[in-house]
Amino acid sequence: MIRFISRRLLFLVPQALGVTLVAFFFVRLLPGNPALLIAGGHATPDILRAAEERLGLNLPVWEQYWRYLNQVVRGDLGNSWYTGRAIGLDVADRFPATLELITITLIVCVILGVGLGVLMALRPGGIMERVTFVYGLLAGAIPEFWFGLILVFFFFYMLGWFPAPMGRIDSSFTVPTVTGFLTIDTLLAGNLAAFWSAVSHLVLPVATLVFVYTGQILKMTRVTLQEMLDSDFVEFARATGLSKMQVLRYALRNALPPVVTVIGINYGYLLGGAVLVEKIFAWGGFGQYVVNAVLQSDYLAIQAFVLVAAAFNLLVYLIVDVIDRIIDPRLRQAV
Amino acid sequence: MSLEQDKETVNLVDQVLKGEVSRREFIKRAAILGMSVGAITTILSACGGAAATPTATKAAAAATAATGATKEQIIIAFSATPIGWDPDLSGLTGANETMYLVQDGLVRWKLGSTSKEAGALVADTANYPKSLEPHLAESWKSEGNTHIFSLRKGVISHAGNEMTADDVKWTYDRAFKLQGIGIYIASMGGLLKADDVKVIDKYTVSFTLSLPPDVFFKGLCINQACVLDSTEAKKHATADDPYATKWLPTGDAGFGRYKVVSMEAGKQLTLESFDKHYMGPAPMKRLVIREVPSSANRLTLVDKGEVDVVTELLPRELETLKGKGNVRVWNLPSGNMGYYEMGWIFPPFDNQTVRQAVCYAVPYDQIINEVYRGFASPATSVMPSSFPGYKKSYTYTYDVEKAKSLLKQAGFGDGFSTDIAYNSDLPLHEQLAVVLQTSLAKVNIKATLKGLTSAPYLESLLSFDKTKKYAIEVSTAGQNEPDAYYWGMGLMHSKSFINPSVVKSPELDAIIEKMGAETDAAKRNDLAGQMQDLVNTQATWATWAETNLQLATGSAVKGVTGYLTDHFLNNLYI
Repeated sequence: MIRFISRRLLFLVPQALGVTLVAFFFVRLLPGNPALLIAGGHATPDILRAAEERLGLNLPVWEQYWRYLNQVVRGDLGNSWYTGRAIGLDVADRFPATLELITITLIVCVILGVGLGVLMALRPGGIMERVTFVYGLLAGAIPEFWFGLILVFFFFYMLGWFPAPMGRIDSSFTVPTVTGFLTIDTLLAGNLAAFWSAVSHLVLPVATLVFVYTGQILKMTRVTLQEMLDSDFVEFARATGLSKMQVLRYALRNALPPVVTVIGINYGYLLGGAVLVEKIFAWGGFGQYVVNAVLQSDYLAIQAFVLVAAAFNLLVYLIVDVIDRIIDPRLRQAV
Repeated sequence: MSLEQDKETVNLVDQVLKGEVSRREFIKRAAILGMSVGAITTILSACGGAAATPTATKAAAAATAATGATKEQIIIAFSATPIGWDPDLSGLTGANETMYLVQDGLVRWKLGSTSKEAGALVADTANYPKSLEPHLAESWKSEGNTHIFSLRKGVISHAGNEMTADDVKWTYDRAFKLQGIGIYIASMGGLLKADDVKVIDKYTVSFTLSLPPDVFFKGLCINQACVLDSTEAKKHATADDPYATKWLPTGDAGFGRYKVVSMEAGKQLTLESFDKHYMGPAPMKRLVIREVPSSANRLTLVDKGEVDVVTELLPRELETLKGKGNVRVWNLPSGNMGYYEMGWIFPPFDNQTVRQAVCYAVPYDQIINEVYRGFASPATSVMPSSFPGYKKSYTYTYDVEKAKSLLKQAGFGDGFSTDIAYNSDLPLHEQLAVVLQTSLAKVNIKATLKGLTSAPYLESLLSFDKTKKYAIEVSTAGQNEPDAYYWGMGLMHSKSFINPSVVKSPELDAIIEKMGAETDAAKRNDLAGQMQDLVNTQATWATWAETNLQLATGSAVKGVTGYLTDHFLNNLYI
């Protein structure tokens, strides 16, 4: 297992290099001159030239890439062309907000998806199946940003059950940053009121994402578990007189690898999917940051997002593969 | 008006709005302080405004309780937190709204009431030069082309440094060196190099211009023409960065009414009243600017009383707020205009008759009533009506038959194909493009829509290259420099690097150049009128509306100000 993990970690290096190359050049395919956007409509040719020099856009593209690569290798993601701020600082500020949102979302998706999937597999054709069928249609058709706005309208505006969609916590609380996860940092600070504020601010954005992303996990759990429950070895297990719980445990363990894979894939999708939800709830996360960067043609910030997202996904897939190997002994023996 | 009188006026207004002073007492004291009748009337009408009825009063109290909007704090929701307030490097709208709060300029516009919106005070740009007021400069005089400003003594920055002429000089040295946004208007006004800014003594600075001073003086009122605390800025400069370009965008080198407390990019900017400002404490102790990207949510938040001021709402969203007792929608006259710009380099738009036909094909009322839901005003000139020298000159109305007849006269009775480019990042642009496309179809002009994101859209607007540009471009431009020469020189002169329609008209060039050299105000205005008449005849831009400046406020806010395209946070009265 250690050799497997080490080999995969080694592969991360060329993969990351490939990602920087793709991110750098694809971003430069975006139409328009970012220096013009920064300099503004009143930019004389001299002002525009000065802006291009400041941003390094006057250099040959390969030289720009080489400079960028040298920076990244030293851990420097560059400075935002708009704010002038170090992008590394922006990432450190914003990424935990996104990570908290998508991690809690994933946990809820797993609990609901796996739980309901197991129930449906155990009682095929029941009322849960019909409800889930309708849910599957809706979840596939309804865009998350629209659903988020509907939740805001009903639960904040009409009912007043949840706080305003203005960030992660009530602005009256100041919480020292330890992990960047407000749910954890507030508890570490011993501030229960702040903790509940953070939790109440999480409910609607998490609900929005859970509605959209639970479906795949639920479906995969139900289908694979159903297959296992119909398989010969489970039939044999029942015939030997094992209890229902024991049979279910055997079947579930065998159904888990594809479910874990789907969970991992969804975790990666959530990073992108949270972008619009962050905008709606003014979350102040990394997704909202990159939307602004795209609109402003802030190349370095966009590249940083691609790099961080790629690293995140690669790490998640590594964890998924490790978990699969733990669950399935056949994979441990594979070359 | 002296420093003491300024403070006294602010305190008096504060007292009458809070009900601490009777109307009779207010009128008596305001007259003593030299306040104009218009200003007195406006402030008194603000006192008896939205909160007049019992329902509104109750709603106002509820809104106040919900936001905590007392004289302590106002919460404003913008689509994005300002990226910074560096006058040379920080562009974009949010930055403009912050610049004037943190940083002051040498002069400012006198505020006056407007017939369009009770309770609002707007920059009295039409009455230039009488409506220019001292600000960081106490007085000024002109000696030929050199204009000498005497600075106000004892003005302290947020960092505790006294303002001197060296700060003014350093600010302009920086602007010329960085060639940023800030220097454009100054250079259009005839300030061509840093050496033309001279320190005479500790509190006196001079500017030598190559043109009559109108553009330059009006340009001193825009956000970018502020004075920076050079002593504080230099502390953050390095050998590689002598003008503190890394620090200043979000650092505080201001002499303005508000100082920066904290900045969390993408979340919240908090400003606090700078009590040592020469005008005394600001009307609100604290301003909190929150980023709320979704306009639907900004609407919800102001309706629920969670925030006090929101901007950038869509017209249909503003419409839903009308008539509600707890929210007021303000529609302020401004320098914002809407155009369909036709490029002379794209045949047949090089034909004046064809352009005139397009102008007759635009459904002006439909745009104002359906797209802008009545929040825009009909355009009566290509220039904003708030500009000195404005002349009612736009003669085109919606007349399909006339449009067809003109096209036939030009030899295009069967129509032709063309493109309409719009900025897909701006919510109304696509709608405006579709309206035009539909209308042009009625006169046999087949238009293809081209949605562009901001960067290529701007490139299209500013390019003279046919491969990067489109024949018709939707434009909703905000103009914060109220000067006809500046307008014409930038937007219509053949030698301008902007000139979005690539106009080449020697006759128009001659009028504009003559205007720039003219020192007599009446003659200048006359030339401005000639320019507007000619631009109307040439029909380069189908001008569909003055789009105004809209914002929505909770009932705790009783008055706002407007400065053509921004400045509405400057004197909120609560």
